[in-house]
Amino acid sequence: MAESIRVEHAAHHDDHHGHHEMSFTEKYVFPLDHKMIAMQYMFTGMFMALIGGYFAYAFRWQIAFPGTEAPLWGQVSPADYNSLVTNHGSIMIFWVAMPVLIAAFGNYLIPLMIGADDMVFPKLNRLSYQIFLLSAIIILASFFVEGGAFGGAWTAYPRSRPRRSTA
Amino acid sequence: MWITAVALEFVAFLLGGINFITTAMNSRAPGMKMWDIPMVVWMIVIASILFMLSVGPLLAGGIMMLFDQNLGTAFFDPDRGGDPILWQHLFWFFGHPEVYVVLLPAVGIVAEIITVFARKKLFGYKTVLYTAIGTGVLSFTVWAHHQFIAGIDPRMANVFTVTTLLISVPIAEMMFVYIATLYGGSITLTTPMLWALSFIFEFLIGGITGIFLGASGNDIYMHDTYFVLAHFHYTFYPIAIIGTYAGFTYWFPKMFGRMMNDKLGKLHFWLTIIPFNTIFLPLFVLGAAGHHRRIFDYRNFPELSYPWMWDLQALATYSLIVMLLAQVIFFYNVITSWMSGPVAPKNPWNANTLEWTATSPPPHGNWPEGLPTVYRGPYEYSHPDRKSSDYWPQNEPA
Repeated sequence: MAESIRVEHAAHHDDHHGHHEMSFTEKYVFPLDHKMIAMQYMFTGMFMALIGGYFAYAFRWQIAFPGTEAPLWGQVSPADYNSLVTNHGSIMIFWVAMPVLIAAFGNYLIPLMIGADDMVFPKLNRLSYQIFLLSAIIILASFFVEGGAFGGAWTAYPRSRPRRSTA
Repeated sequence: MWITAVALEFVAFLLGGINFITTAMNSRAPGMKMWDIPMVVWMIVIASILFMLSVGPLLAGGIMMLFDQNLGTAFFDPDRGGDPILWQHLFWFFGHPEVYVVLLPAVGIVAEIITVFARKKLFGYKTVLYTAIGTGVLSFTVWAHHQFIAGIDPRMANVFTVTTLLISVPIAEMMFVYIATLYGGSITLTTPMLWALSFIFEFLIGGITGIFLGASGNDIYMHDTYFVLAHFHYTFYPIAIIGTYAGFTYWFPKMFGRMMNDKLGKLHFWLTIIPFNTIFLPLFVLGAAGHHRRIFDYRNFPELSYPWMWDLQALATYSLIVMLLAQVIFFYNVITSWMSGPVAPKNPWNANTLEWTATSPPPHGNWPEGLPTVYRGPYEYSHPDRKSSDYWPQNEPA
């Protein structure tokens, strides 16, 4: 069924255009091509790496020169410090290492190195990037909500001591 | 929001992982047998399997944490009989395999690069593959080494010390295979090769310091100091940053159809790798001197405030600034090479693997004139039966 639809679709385009020319949105914003999805992952990952590096710079400044203003950030408060360290760790692991090494190189190299024309599930692939992008937006947005970003270290350990005083 | 973001991110990679595994198993070119698959593809497949097996407990833990915060349950709340250590177990049952999830692709990228630029066959293809699988299995048995001082039974700590030291064996084996591959090769020091060699060197430092930390007795002293932090960054920095730059500079001609500027590439390499070492080597020293890593202001701790300690902290911070500024060179290089670099031929590095038989960059569908057929393994460099050239593409009939 799906096969016949695809063939009809192709035939339709052949009648009218000769060959199917993709629009900008189809090619770069919502691509199905594994190479373009890999590039989306790669550059999103590199952008997040710059943000993670900037966070590292801000809290490293506070460690080495406590109490002075970090250029391009300002005074680092204790709450800032916690959320900077936490999100430096989270971003570098979940939004840099994972998307670049697994998703970008995986998407780019697997089909090319094994001699396939594309991934088996191109639409799933596109959905995967879109969910990833959403998650990246959420983690960055968490810096702008009331109460600030999460600051409990990237391992997110819960409180290990009872709240009640035992003394 | 942190948990939501992390959970969504995991869903994305679960979808990606199933795609990678299915593709690598089902869509191989005609003639490509299991032992003809390039190492980096194997590594990404194994990493995807590890990720899919380990992520379940953390997702479950994340949902329990959300319930705790929003619905009034007490899975992790010690006030009401919950167990906060349970979260640590769930987290690290994911967290430790995760290290190998990101390590294996980087190791695979390095394998591709060193064979091409040493013009030698990978020394022990199956050894690397089996050690990767062995590492994967072992990685599920080491998680509690993150929790030696979290109140777990010291007898359990002994068990986890043994498994932790054990996992350095397959990784060391892999590094020996790479060194043996380099031995006697005719090495060309291109930018990707420099990155690949620095990966081996820096990761070895990370691995060796890991042996100190894996021993539970020593870890009680070292726990939560800068020593741990420096060890962590000596493993993850080679993986995430060096691995990425190695792969990116190596496949850049294929990705964008242009050659990268090698001089700028090397300048960027040295300006990144030297500051990287001057950031984290001082932190080993500070960690051994007892600097705790979660302190906001060391002026409050006189025993951690000697002038030489401040000098080392300042050195690390200045190095970080230099390293971040050096990335400007990289982005400048990428943009100018992309726009106006020399046009890349199909196979600029004289490599064997199939991606170099497609045009640079490959069109949609990769090989419009028909998929290639595979006749041999991916690493047949300087083969004695092959007189005409020192490489033997996988798709060339014998």
